[in-house]
Amino acid sequence: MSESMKKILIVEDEEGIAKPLAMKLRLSGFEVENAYDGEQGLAALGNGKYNLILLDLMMPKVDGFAVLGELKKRGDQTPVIVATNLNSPEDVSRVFELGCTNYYVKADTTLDQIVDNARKTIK
Amino acid sequence: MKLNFKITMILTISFLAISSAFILVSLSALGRNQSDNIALFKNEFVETNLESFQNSSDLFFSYLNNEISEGKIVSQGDAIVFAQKLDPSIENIILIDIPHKNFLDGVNPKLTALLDAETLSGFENQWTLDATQNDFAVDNMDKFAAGDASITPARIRVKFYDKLGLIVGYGKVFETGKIRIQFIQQQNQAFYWNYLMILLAIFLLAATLIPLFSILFMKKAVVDPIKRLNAVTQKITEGDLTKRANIVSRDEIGELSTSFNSMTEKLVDSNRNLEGKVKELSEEHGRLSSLVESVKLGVVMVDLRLTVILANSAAKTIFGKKLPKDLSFKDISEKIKGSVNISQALSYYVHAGKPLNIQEVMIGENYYRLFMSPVRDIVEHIFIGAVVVIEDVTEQKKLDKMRTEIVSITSHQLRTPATIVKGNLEMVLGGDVGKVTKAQRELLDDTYLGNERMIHLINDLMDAAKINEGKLVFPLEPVRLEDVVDEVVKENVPFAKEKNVELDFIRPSAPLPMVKINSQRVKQVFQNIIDNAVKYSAVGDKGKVEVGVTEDKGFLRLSVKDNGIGIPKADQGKIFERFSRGSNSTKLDPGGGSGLGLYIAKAVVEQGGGKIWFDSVEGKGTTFYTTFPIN
Repeated sequence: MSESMKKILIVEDEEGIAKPLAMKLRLSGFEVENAYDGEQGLAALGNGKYNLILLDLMMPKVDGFAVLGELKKRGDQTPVIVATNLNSPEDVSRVFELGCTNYYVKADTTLDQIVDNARKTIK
Repeated sequence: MKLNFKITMILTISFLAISSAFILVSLSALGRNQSDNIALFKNEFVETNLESFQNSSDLFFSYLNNEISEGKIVSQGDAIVFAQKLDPSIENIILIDIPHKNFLDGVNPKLTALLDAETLSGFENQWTLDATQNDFAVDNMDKFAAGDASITPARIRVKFYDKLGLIVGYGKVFETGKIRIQFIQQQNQAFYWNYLMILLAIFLLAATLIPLFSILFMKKAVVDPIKRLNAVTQKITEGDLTKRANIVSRDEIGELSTSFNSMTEKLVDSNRNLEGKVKELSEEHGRLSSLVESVKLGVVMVDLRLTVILANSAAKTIFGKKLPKDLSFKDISEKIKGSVNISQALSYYVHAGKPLNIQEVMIGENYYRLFMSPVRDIVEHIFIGAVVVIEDVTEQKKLDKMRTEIVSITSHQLRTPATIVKGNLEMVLGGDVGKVTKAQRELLDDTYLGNERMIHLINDLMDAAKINEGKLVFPLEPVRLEDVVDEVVKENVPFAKEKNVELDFIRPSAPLPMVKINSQRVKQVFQNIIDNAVKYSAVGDKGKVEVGVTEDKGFLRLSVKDNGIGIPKADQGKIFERFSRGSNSTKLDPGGGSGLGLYIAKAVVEQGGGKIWFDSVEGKGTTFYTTFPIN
């Protein structure tokens, strides 16, 4: 199965962050969809199937924690990489409890590292 | 004149007067008796038989032998008994002893005359013929008695003395065996009476005058001054300290007055001092009271039985009492609930004598911090209680919470635009959106690095804030330290090359024990140390950084040795403080770090149970050490 088949959902309210990330992932051969808050994200997840979710935590309407909780409730097994700028130990342990696969601090992580990570996670 | 001398004089005079009086009384009795007796004689001569006058020692007996054949008279009593045999009416008898007054001693009874019972009838007292004063008479009487014809009786004279030595009679021997005695008692009788009367008068006068004089004297010398002194004392007691005792006398009363005056002076002095002291004290008390009242902290003082003995208005407000004095220990212990048993804590610390700082208790809805200190008596240095200072930290708590929120929000908010810049630049620099010219790349590279530094700063500030709040916590996991070191060194090799510094890690030949660390945080620490070492060794062509890991006494020790600029002595003490940078570092690191790297490194290493330190000589180089305990 070629990588173009892999579908990634980016749930990120900051367009400035989401745009280059989506570009990079597309250039790296992924199919990418963007959701700009938790509500949109959950809606998208209800409609389609994704190989990976890149999930922000601080978002309007429904935040990342709520999205994780809802996915858990739905029994959705889609791997989730949490992308945050909060970086508090409490938050980190909380998202792992809620079933996320991995997490990174956005400001400290390059696009290349994210792509690498996405590849490893989907594999 | 000294008072005791005056008194002695009075006493002496009184004594003499009284003694004289006694003598007079006895004499008057004597005189009266004599006068009675003298009346019997009627100033007539009495003739005495001196018939057997030859042997003086036996004279008495010889004479007696005429009448009584035997008996030896050895006492006056014997003589009376004997005489009474001659005449039962005889009550007393006078023995005349010449030359010795006391015939009864019998030592030298040269000449003794015995007046016949008839003559002496009615005599109660003894008469003595004093031969010692009449040697001539005695001598002649002896001769005459011995039959010396040249001695005529008329030339023999004897005198009779009474016990007082007064002549009471003269005797003349006018024929052998007979003595004729003339008594002269009548003059004496008059004399006695006069004498008695005069003495009596003196006695009466003395008896009247002495007490009077004494009273007058005592009044003048003692009572009056004491009265005056008393009056002055009363004035002084009433508070008039200007009064002085004005007594000029060279006795004890005078001395007392002088002492009294100097005492009063002292009193005035010490009063003045005391007034000053009282003023000072009350001023100080006032200051202290206003201090305690003005302080915005609650101040409560308890004694050893935990009774509240002082509380300021702030304390009253905290515990909701109208007056500080209404505050009881019960109010305090009831209001302060939870983890702190205030009674126990207080009584323990009151007696242990150590201050105690209790972080945050809740009283009502507010947060307070309690400081307890034992109170010592300033003078006696014994514990007399404890003082509790109560600080309202509610606002502080709110501010703390706000600050934490601000830091976390800010960091989040700052990170977001930095992340946008980072992502977009990566795309451009990666050539994903078109070709980048060399000049463009150069500029964009700098932009990227600037953005990275900003991210780094934000991260450091967040960490520092967490350390400050004691919230820098991270999970630990068993890690092979040399792997972490290796990774960081490898990451830094390009940077070192760029700086023309040789960076080597001498990996130990055998694997070292694992240590429990947080890899990410420890990497951050190593990154910091190695980055510094490279940066500050970049002088000349021979910059060299050696990294090593060794096992040492239950620890793994990382060392990063450089031959760089070193840390000036003056800066060495504060290198681990926040925002501290070596004064010589800015030249080699113009952009500069946050000044938080080593502060964070220290916190991270210490949290893992290790230590961080360095040896440095300015201009020669620095070696940093960090240790990690082996589990």
